[in-house]
Amino acid sequence: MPVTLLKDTVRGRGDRMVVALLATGIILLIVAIVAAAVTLGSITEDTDAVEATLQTQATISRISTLNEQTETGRRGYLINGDRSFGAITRIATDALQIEVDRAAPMVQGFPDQQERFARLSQMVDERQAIVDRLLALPPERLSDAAAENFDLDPGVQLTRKIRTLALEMLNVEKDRLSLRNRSQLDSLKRFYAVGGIALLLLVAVMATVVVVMVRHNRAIADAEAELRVANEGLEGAVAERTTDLRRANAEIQRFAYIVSHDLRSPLVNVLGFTSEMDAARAVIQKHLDNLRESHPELATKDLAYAVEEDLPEALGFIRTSTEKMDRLINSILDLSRQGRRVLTPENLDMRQLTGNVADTLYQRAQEEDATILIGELPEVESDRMAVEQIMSNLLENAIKYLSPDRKGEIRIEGGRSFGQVHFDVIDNGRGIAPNDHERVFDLFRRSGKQDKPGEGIGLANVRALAHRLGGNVTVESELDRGATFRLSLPTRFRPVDDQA
Amino acid sequence: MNAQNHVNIVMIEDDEGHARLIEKNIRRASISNDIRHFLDGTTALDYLFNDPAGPAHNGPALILLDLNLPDMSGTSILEKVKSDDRLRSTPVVVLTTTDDKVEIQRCYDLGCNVYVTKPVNYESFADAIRQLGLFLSVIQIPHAGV
Repeated sequence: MPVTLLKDTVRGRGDRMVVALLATGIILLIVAIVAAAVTLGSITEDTDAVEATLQTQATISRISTLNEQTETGRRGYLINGDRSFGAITRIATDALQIEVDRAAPMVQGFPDQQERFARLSQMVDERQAIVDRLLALPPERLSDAAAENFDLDPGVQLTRKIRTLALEMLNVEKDRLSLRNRSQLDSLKRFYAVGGIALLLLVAVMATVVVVMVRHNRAIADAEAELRVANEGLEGAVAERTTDLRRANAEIQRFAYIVSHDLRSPLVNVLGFTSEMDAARAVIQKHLDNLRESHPELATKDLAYAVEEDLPEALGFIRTSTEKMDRLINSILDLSRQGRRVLTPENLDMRQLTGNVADTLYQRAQEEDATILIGELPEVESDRMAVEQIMSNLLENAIKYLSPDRKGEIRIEGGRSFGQVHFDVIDNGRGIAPNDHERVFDLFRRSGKQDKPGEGIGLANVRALAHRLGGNVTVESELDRGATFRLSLPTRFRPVDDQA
Repeated sequence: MNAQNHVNIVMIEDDEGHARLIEKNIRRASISNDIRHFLDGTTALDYLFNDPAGPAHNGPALILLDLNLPDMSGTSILEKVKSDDRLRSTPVVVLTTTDDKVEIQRCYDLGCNVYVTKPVNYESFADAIRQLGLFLSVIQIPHAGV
């Protein structure tokens, strides 16, 4: 159906779109996470670098401070020769040496600072040597040393140089710090930018998904509405067809009724005048009898033959044929009448109903030496007269077509399944050849040996009735193996309205 | 049997064979009344209502009516007869092939006096006609002697 196809296409297209969009969203999310991780890594690196610079700065500052302390201690010792000044100087130079050692790895990788540091380190060593020498000097010679020109003192000069150099290095580190701070800020900005863009894209994708879904749902709703309209159209078409069929059926019923009626009219004449002819023949017969006595020579053999053989034979055939025709017409009339009868559904105790039917056939069953067994039968809501008619026909057939080879046994069983009940009339009679199974339900058709009276109406009538009741009659049988006729009916009566 | 002789029998029957068989059996039942035969409804109605010798103007009659006529339904003739003041008491015997219960009931509702189904079995048919003769001999004729 084109409508269903349309719906499928809509659904398929929408599904593919949503899947693609969701995939895009997931990819974007992964990209955003990776970007964030990378940016975060660079921020950490920057932070580490800033930290290192700060440490370098601190170390250089301490070097600077210890440089001043050493000089102060040395000068104090030089002037008043106090041993405590000497101790202070020693502590300061030792600490200075430790700081210098610590600073060495910090300047690795920065050639300018490395070069400066080399010079600083050298100067610190030189100053160390001066201090060592001073502390090794005997106290009596201290005054000589102190008398020397302050400005020409190499220790003082070294101190000044170290101070300048340390300051220079500090400035370089300060510049580097500000540079590294800026790069850290840049990393942070990048992080926010990447995150923001990813977020925006994600929102855009989600919004598209929502739009697509809404549109898709609307398309499905439209398709469903279309389908509903199509279905309603279909229902209308079915209703129309049903009405047509009912009308046709009613037409056939009326046709059968009128035709059989009008056929009957001439039959009345045929049979009527046949009887009149018979009456006339009786007069001639009487005359012939008289003639035989009075003038035997006039009662010829031909005359006797015509009056006593030919005429009765012809009249007999006309009569039997016409009577048969009348029976057939009556059957059609009955069928047509049953088709017009109004059905009145009621709850039927099928065991009782079938029992009653069997009772009316008791005499027939006795004559044929047959037994009828009625099993458990389910209840059903249907038209009593129609069901009775059907059961009576089926039972009658079972009794009629028993096999002469065995004692007749007829069982009636029942069951229910899915809103349907069924009643089986099972016999062990002569059976029906499989290729005659449908034929036996045709009007005026019979099967097997034609040694029993009948017009071939019963089963046609049974099936027509079952159809009217919303059920069916089927047969299962093999030749000489008995037959099972099954009547299926809806548990609840559903009117099959064939009266248009 | 004086009254009987005054009664005209009006037979409305389109099938001439049937008409002949009916007549034969009536005669066989030794009923000698006049029989007027009509093949269609229109002429029959004209006779019933307008003919000076017809029952509307000239005394008692008995109507034998077939239901299947070429120009109208027998029931409409029955209806007209039974709704006319002059003809209402005229006995009507419906004689037809229909043995449909509904149809029979309808005829009785319309006021038909006897309903006879034409059987194909001729003996039953002859019997039915003989019954009719009996019926004819006992019916009261209100207009008789007027």
